[in-house]
Amino acid sequence: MARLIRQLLPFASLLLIVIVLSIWKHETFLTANNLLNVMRRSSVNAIIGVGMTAIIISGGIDLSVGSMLAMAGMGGAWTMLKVGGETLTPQAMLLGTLAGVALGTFCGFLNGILITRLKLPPFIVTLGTMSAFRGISYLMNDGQPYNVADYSYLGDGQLAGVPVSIVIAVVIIALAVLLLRYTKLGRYTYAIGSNREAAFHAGVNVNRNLTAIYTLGGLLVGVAAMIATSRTVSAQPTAGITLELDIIAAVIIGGASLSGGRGTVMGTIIGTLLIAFLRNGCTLLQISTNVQLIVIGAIIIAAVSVDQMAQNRAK
Amino acid sequence: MIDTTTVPLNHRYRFETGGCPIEAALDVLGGRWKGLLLFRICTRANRFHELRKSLPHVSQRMLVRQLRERGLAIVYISHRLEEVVDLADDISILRDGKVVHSAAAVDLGIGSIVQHMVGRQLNEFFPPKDAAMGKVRVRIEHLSSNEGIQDVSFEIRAGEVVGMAGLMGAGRTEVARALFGVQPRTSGEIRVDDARVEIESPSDAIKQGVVLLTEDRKRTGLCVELPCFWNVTLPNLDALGMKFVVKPSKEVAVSGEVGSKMNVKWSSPRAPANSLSGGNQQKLLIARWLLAESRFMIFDEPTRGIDVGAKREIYTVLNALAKEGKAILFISSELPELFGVADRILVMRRGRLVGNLVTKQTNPGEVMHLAAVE
Repeated sequence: MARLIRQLLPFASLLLIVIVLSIWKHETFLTANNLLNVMRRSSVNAIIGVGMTAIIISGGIDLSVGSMLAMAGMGGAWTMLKVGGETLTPQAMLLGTLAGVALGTFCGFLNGILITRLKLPPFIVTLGTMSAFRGISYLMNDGQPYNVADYSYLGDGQLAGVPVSIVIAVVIIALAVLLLRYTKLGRYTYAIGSNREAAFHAGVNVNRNLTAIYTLGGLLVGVAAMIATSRTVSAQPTAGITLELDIIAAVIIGGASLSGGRGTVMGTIIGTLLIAFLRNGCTLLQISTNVQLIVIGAIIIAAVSVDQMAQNRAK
Repeated sequence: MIDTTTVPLNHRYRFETGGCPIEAALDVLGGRWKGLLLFRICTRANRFHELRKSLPHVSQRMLVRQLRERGLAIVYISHRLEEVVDLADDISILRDGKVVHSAAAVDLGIGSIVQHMVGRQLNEFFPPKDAAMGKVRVRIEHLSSNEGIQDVSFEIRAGEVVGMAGLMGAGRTEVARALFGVQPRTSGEIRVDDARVEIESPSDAIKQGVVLLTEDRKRTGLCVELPCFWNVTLPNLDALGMKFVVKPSKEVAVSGEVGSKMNVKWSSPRAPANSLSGGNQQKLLIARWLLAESRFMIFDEPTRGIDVGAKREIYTVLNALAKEGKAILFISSELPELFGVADRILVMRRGRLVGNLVTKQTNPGEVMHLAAVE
């Protein structure tokens, strides 16, 4: 029972926020434009959140996603400009996009290798790479952004009337749900997070699977980075600062446990939307961004304490 | 009035004296703990090592003797019987949490200590064993690992249950860990069905049909918050043909099958493993290995901390597995249990195999003697 409440709580809160805003601010909130905007802005966080969900289920954490986003975006934009010059050809944009995704994938792989080979805690490794990736992002163009004026399709384009970024996010979410539920990698992810020693004794190759999970997380950050780059038609070395906090918060609000073994992609999506609508609502109600931070902080603590209570009662 | 502070001597001693000469160390010890000193000998190999490091020049016996001369009362807890007989004035023997005998050391020989340690009648229920023994299925040659086991060799036939006895820290679990690839061996060979098998990890072991029911089901056995059927299929996904995609409905079906074979009492295979009692959790883990195509099964303390009913079920399953022709290594600290289920009993002491006895031609006293006496 307590478990059910815990699972429904984020969804109920999300619904409550949407209903309250719909009634209170219907003329500005309940417009297709506003709703689509919120979703489009959430797509980057949702895509990264999917990877973070798997990482947190495995009992790990990735603090480097914000820096990785900046670095992958910068790398992708640099490739575009190198290949296409000032006027970006479609081929240059495609190559740049692939390069950005590949760079993100490599960053995730690097995290995974450092964590499993050096046997270091993920918190420490990704704290280190968070700093290193940020540094590289700044070095790439002396702290200046790369402008890619024509690279707007991923951020602004539409596919059958739906923003491309939302389509990409929905596809990734669907694939991730299937991956965690119906593949061996997904099963091993839960098992490693639940009890790493037991998983090892059951013949799970813990290192290889963890590396795969961090690599996939990096790949998703790469995809998100290119969407973020496209939205602002520029790659910023300062992109995604403190992004990791929002992402981790969404995963935790969505019901994942930082000690591993528990969490779902759908929970994370609800957590992501909850934070996004909260921000949107605060903006519409003209509440300052400073107060928004306080509200989000309170919600994280509330979500986890409800979780604790539910667990204690279950025992 | 006796001060009953327990002194973990090895740690405290090193801490307090920092390597100064024995005389000064004794003064520190004697001055601080006037009264009763509980001297608990740590037998785990690594702890021993620690003790040796902190006391490079003195033997434990010397230390105890000198402390006694300084007027300390000492309770010396050990299962090294020769040391006990050598050092103690009075001896109390505990079994199952009760003092079963106390006497002056001069009146007690090693032999009668062993008798009191064994004590219990072999009156527990063991199903009659009716598996026919086949040819040699498992051959372990000169197994050593850096967890302290040295040159362990033995054979197990198809359909044979071989028990392994030994005191705490004698290296029984370490043998299991080396065979299963948890702690890769430093030397030695494992042959199953006359073919040498390479085992560097549990994953290798499972592929070769070597499986281990670990001694600590909470730490190295179950993923407690995950569904029962996940726990059953976890090591068997490849064998079930689920190389990449898992099929939960099929998994539930096969788990239900082996679960009912083991008589696991669950509300459903989908229930989380921590909703089961200890005995049922253990049966769940055995069910997992029923599903594996195993040839050589190692059970490490499979009946520890579970109720009598579940114990009997486990003995019955053990017989059934033997009947299927599997080679079984059964590690236990309970002598009656070993005598009830094993065809042969191996005895470990200090990382070495010191006895290989046919159960019908030996007795608990002999096993205990081999396990405890140098």
